[in-house]
Amino acid sequence: MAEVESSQVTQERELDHELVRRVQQGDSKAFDLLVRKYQHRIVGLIGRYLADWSECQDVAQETFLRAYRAIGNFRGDAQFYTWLHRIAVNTAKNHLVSHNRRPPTDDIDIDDAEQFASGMRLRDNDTPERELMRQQLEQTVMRAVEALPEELRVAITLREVDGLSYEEIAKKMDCPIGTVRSRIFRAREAIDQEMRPLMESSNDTSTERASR
Amino acid sequence: MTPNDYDTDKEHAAASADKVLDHTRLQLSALIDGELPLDEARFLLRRLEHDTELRDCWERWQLCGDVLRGRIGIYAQDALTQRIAQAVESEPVVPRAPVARHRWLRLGSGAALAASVAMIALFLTRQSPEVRAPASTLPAQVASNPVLAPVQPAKVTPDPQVPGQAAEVASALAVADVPRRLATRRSRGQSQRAALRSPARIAVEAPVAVAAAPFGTPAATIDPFSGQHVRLPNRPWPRAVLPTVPANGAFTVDYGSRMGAPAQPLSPFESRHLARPLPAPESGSTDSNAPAP
Repeated sequence: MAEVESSQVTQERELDHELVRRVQQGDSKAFDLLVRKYQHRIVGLIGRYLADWSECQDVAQETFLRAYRAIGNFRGDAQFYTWLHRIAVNTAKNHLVSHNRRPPTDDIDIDDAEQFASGMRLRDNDTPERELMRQQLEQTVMRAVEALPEELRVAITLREVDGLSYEEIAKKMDCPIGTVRSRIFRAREAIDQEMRPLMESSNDTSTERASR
Repeated sequence: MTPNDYDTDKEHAAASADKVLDHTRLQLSALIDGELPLDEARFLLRRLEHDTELRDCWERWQLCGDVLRGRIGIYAQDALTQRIAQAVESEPVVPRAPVARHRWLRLGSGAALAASVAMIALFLTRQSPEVRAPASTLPAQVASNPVLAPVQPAKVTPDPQVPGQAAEVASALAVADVPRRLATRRSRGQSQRAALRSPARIAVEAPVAVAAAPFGTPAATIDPFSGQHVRLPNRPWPRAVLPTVPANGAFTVDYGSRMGAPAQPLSPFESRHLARPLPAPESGSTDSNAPAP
């Protein structure tokens, strides 16, 4: 299992480093891809330090700006998200100190920060709205996965949950790699069909609030 | 073209456009999984920078993966994405990576250091054969002498008549020479250990080592092949075979006695009086290391 996880981590790391390399060469659009990839996790992490949604967004923006300013010094020794996680934690704590609030004494570990089951103390900061949004998102995705045909469901689960490579999935499912690629793609398309309305309605709601 | 044909063409065009879009999204799916070939990945990343719909798809699929893996994430609306993009665009300084150039410099300096060490090592190893050069040249000279030629590569048998001093010199030279020749890549400690534990090899290699003995020592008077005492003839330099240079001329240097006179050691620090007569021979004085008069 460790080997499987390391394989997935390596693939993710290579893609991130390619994007970072592009940003370091002056391509700011590549940084937008990194933002879109990690902003939900970063907002979720900062939301465990700050209750206010507006503050949360400000700190998330500050986090990405700091990362952008310092990305020239990123050497690729660690994963990009590990580096970004550290910046987010420091920015959130600095924000609390600057507003005369006491930051938590113990930091959120990167593994704990990504699991629903742990870190219950800091999750108390979650507002009902955020919690509802998260639950809706999770239920939508799980429902979409449950509705998939079996071969698509198995393929997407082996890839996203177990972290297997296409070659390993092809061996497990006894089919060509091209078929695995196609099945995972079709599974994502089907899940995306369910996710898109939820996200669009969320965007509309936030736009309405901003216009008021 | 009938209206039906036109509709059919439109359907075909839409279908082919969908196919292209599907192919691009299929590539995007493989890119997210790190399974897209490098050249295609570069092309698709370039396209992602300009295709908003594809970027939105990238974001949703990343979020979908996070949810499936059980990672905590809150859907940050488009507003936050746009805010961050605007803030990044307004940044005056574009981050550059001095790291890559430093890395190349580090690699270059490391390579230069390695090359210099290799050059020193090459220079030092090149010196070793020059030190041992007489060992390879002396037999050739002996073979060119009509008195001793032809020399048979006789089987080596230890001679009981060999004096103890010559045997010691031969052994010492062999000890120093055998390990280096047998294992040129050994370390010094390994060579010394090999020399200590191989007396048999030393006995076999000793005559060769005798040939490598320096001139003027008693070992030089031992035939390297038969082990017998031999009297080496004078080897004037320049050679007597050169017609223009006399063998016993004033510029001739020898390593033995010439015309019954003992050898005069050549000292580079003292001027030689060419016209001075040779000193009278002293009985028993054969030490070539005696100071020059």
